[in-house]
Amino acid sequence: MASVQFSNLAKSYGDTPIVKEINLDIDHGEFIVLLGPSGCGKSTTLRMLAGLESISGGDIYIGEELVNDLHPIERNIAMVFQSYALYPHMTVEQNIGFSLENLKVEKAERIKLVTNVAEMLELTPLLDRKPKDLSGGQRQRVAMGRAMVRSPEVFLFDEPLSNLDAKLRGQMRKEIKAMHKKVQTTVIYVTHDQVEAMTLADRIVILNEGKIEQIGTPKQIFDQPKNTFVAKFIGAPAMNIFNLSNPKIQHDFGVSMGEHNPVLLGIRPQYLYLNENEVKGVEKAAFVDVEVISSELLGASRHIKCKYQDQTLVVETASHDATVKGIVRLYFNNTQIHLFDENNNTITH
Amino acid sequence: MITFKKTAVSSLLCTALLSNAAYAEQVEITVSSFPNFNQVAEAAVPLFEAKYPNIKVKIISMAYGDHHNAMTTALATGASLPDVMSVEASYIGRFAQSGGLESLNKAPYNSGEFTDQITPFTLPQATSSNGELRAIPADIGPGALFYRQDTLKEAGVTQADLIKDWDSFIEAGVKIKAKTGNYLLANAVDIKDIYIRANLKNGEGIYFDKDHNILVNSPRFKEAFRLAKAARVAGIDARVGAWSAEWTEGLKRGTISSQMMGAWLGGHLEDWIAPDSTGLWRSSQLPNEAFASWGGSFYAIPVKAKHKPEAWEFIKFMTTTKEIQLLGMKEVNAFPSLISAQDDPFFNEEIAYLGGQKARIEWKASSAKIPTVVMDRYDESARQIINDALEQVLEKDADIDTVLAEAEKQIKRKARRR
Amino acid sequence: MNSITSQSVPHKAPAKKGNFWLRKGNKIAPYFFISPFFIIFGVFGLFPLLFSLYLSFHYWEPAAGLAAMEWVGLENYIFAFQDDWFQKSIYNTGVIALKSGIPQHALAIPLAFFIHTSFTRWRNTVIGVYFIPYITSTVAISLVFTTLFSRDFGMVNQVLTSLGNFTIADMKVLSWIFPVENIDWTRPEYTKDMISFVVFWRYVGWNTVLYLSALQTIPRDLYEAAIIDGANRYQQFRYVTLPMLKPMAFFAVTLTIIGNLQLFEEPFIITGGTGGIDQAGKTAAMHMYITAFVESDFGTASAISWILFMIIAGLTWLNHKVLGGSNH
Repeated sequence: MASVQFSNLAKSYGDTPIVKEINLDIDHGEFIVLLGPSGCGKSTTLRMLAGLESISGGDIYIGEELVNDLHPIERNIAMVFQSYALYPHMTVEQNIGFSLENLKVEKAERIKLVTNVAEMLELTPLLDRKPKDLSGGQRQRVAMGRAMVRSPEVFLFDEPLSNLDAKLRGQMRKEIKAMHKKVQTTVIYVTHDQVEAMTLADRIVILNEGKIEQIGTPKQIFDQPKNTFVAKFIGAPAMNIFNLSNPKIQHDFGVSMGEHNPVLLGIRPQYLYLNENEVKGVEKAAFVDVEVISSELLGASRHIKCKYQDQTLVVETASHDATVKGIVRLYFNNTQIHLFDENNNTITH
Repeated sequence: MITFKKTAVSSLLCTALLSNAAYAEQVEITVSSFPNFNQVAEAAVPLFEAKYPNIKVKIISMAYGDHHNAMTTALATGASLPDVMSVEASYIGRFAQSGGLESLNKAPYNSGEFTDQITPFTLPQATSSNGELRAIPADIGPGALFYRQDTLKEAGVTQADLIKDWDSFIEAGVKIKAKTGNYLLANAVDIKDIYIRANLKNGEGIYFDKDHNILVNSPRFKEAFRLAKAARVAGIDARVGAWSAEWTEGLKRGTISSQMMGAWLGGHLEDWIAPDSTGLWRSSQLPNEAFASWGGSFYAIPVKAKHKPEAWEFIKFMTTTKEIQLLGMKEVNAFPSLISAQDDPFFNEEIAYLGGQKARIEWKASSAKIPTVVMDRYDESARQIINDALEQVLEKDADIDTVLAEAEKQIKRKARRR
Repeated sequence: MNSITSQSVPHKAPAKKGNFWLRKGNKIAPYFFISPFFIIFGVFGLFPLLFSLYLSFHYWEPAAGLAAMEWVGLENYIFAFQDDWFQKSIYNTGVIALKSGIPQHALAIPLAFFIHTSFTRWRNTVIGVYFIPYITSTVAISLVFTTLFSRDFGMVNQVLTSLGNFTIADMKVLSWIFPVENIDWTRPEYTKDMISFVVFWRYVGWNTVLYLSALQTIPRDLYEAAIIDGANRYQQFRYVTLPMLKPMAFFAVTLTIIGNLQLFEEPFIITGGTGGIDQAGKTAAMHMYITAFVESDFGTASAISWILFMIIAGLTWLNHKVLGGSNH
């Protein structure tokens, strides 16, 4: 177990900066998820920590130690790759034990460690198989076993679930979470899937174009997005954002153009309701009138696309609201709106 | 019986064709050949076509080895055979034996009419074991000893010392080596090659007699091996193989002071091996009264050829016309097989390259003395076995009697089909 | 479904007259169109194969024509097996195959690994340089090498003896390792080494290209995983690269086995077609050629070729056992 610290970490390929000035403190045993769209530099950051990529600027500390120039093996980290990167010619047992062999761990000790990990991951009956004879989920577990067997101080996951189908992904999420509880090691997990991030992370780091947009718990990230990027990136469907230049909108949402001078307004599709009594927490719900354009059913919920003051707006509602047509009235709680200034940053109430 | 019938039928056919020849329209015959024997034919074709306007000649040439492989295959399958086939001396024994070639000493060819005008030793080479002449000699290669006059002089050695006998030859070599540092000969194996060919009794081949008895375990071979070994021990051979880079360079620089080979070597020396050594080389007969031949070329008609009468006219033209035979001598140093050509005044001319020596007369004299050698189809295998055996003697000090006894056994095994 | 059938137009019988090849129900046309392969394969593949098998049970002096074939049963095979020339040629072939084959792969794999990891910009040029010998004519190569290895005028001897005669204070300090006099490379003790060297030199580039292409298919991830697992460069090579190269190694070694056992051109030209002094450079394929075209014994030559085929098949099978185990 160890803390991890990035200070002014930067990476560029030639003149193209990929990671810019990242500062981040990760505590012992914390589960951190680096989340962002593809190309945001999250994988590069992880690979710099792993030692697979050189550092262009700044420092990385693991525990108290500066690891900038250390070989991966000296950093005492373990990594699970997106492709699992299992050695195809080795059995499960050899795959898991390979690092121990390189570290010259005694054979008896090695067998013990591998057996323990296999037990923990329910791989015991598969120890003699080769990767080609395993299912996707089993391969994933072998990759985790390979990482766990060395009891590293930091676990790195590079989009480990993206090769699995949706159902397996859910199950593996639980297993990863359970593993983290059991071993209590620092985990740094890279993904572009916000569901994984929300369910797994102690804290989420949102990255965009090589910069950190926000660090916070899943709840903080969802409820208090720091800026429009985070607000739009987290949550599905994305938050509705309107330009406040239209006085009608200002009036409808009861926005006073006071000292903060808000420019944009946002409200999540989940916080717009078709019935007034669904609005909780206020005596009198505010409302807007909109025209329904289309609606799509997603099983348990329905997304209704509406036209509001020349802008589109999406409402998520329970599926039994079958056929909504024409002009409808949407109710909402005035405290659940987000206001952003001209720099797209959130104005705190 | 079947063969007899076939021969009879084809003979009849040929007679018929011959009688019709005068009325025939123009015929094209193909002549397959190999370098540089093909050059003689190419030079002769205009003369031939002028004399026989009804016959056109097409010459197809392939590299030496390819030509003989192609002819072997053509005879095997009976397809794409030429009308006139050129055959080199190394292959003539096997081809003559095979039955795929016309018997030229029989009707309608009747070569007997002119074969007495041809150098006698060559005819038996082209004769099958049942006495049929299957090809007509076109040129011969009488053996000669070429040596560097200047080196001999420097070492105080004379031509007579070289050719008196083999022991004297080796002794001369020792003197040359001591005085000049030059080697007398390229390879000790050469002595063996001459010795086993020389002084053969009638009906004897090099390795086999006419009844296929193996002759290698004999005093002739033992002495040949002894002499080669003596030359090697004396350190008078350069230990190089003929036609290697070391060999040509040695002859060019004079570090190899003599070479026994066909008379045509003179042409090679003058043309490209040692063109700057004009007047330094001389030719003599081989040591110890040995007479041997190197190479030689023949013309034959395949049994399945299409234009046999015309082919026969061409062969006669090439082999019995004095002018053509001399043409070959002038073109590519092909020594005439026709005796009347050898009597031409051309043979009395001095050769400037050989210091004004009238060497052709000497070669002619030797060619008359070359013994008739019985050829055998296992000669090539036997040659290889004997060379391997000599190698054991020269390099590994093996006992001569033992290796020759062993060689005899090997040849017997190789020559299993008679 | 029903509506479709009811609407379909009644089947129209094909016109009796018209293009023969396009007529429906023509049973010959398909065979005609696929016939070129079978005709070519039959004439150039199958017939020679079967004919040589047939020939191997006969005695045949080819110059005497096809009628001269004579059935001898297994005699040709028995003779070939007992023939010390054949045994020697097999021995030569084996020695040359090993001496040229093993270094070929022992060098090609690390070389491919080196090129793969160390070159980016000049990579194709470097590969090209190594590949040139493979596409150069054997005749040219062999002539160049015989010139290089010429006893008195060859560069190899010049370099070696100049090192051997290197003198410091009147002492030939290097004479214990380098020769002081010209070496005659045509001596039987050197013949096989010289041929092996030429063969090795010629095919190492080809094998490098094969291994290089296999290296390019190994995912980067695997190396990264190995790095994380603490494998050093050698361990990455030993535990990731080598096992991943196994399928290609099987292929390349098979090609080498087949190629080396059929070795003909290089020894033929280097030894001037004779096999060299004491037949030290005569390979099995050369022996077969000489038996056929010099000794005119096509039957025995065919038998030799079939024995050779069986040896190659056997070794390929063995190679499959050793290297061909499926990994993927």
